[in-house]
Amino acid sequence: MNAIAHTLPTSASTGALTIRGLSKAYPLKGKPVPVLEGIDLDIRPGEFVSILGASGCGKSTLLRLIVGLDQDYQGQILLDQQPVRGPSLERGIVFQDHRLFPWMTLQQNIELALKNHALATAEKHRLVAEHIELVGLSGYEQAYPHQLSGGMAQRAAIARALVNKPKVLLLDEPLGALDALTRVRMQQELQRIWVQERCTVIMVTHDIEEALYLGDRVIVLDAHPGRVREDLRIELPHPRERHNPLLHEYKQLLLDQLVGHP
Amino acid sequence: MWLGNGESAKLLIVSLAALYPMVLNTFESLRQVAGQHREAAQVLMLSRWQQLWLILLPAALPGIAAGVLHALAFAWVTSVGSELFLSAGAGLGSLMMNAEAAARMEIIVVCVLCIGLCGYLMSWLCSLLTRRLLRWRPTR
Repeated sequence: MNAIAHTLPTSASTGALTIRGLSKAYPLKGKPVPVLEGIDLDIRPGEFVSILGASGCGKSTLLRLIVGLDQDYQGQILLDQQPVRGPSLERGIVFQDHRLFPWMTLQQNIELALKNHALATAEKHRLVAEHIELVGLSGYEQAYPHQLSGGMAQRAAIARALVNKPKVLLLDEPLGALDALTRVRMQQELQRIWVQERCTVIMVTHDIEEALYLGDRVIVLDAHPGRVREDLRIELPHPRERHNPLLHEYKQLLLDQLVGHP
Repeated sequence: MWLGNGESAKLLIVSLAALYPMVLNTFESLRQVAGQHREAAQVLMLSRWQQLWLILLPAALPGIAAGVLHALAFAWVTSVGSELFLSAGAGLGSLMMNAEAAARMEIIVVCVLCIGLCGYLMSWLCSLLTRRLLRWRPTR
């Protein structure tokens, strides 16, 4: 409950992401192969954007560029009008594999994200405990990652990314490695967490239903090279019902677009 | 040998024998730390030192521990061996050499048993320590 109280004042004022003419190429046998070409995006503060595309369309590359792990690109990435240079705590990321450090307990893993914050130890403990509670892992603070199930480890990774209060949370197929049931449950969890935190979220996925259920906007990327093909606005308030007929209509539309008619 | 045949010469031989497996294993396991771990550390904005202490070293620890265990065996073998060649001062090796000269078979047998027992105990202690340090690893 206190999570709502402390995030609402700052919500939706920062976290605007602007991408202008973004292109990226990887060298292959000496020749540059374009992965992303001319991407233009305006993402409003507090928006949940799903990026949908077949594998190999460069959607993970896009996230790596935004988070700052790869700085070799053309074009501009601006967060609140400031150019993005290298990783920063303003941008949190959750990968498909949880990437928790196996030699640290859950609590230590999340605390590590606050390592370079000038906060009192007590305040750090409070933040960590609060975020462990937010993702529903209270009671597992001292567990090592190998003792957690896939879904739990992924929740912990989300907590680690959120504990810094990033302006933008990037999710790189965060539920891709989970089984179908855990996945549906985690989608609900993600929705609940986002409704509470209201930071800008960009989620990359290849699951159409997931993209529609969670996203305020669904952006479809074309492959080879990756370009924006479709930018759908899903005008439905959160939290959503999975069975909403509008979502089903959109699903059919996107399926036709992505898979095409035989 | 530049160091004569005293304690320092033995020390040099034993250190050399122990150095190689340790350095090679440490280097190799540091090099093999998964890119995923490095990236996660970068995203969390850890400084170079923090990356080394908090991420690289723990991640390489299993390999380093294997190197230490290896080095321990090498060191023990060479320390007894160097005493056989450089029989100066007190030690199991020189005790054996003297027993051989005096044809005292029973002393040799006891020495051999001692050498075996000590080696076993040391590697047992080492693996106990390793298991304690690496308790975060999944148990198979």
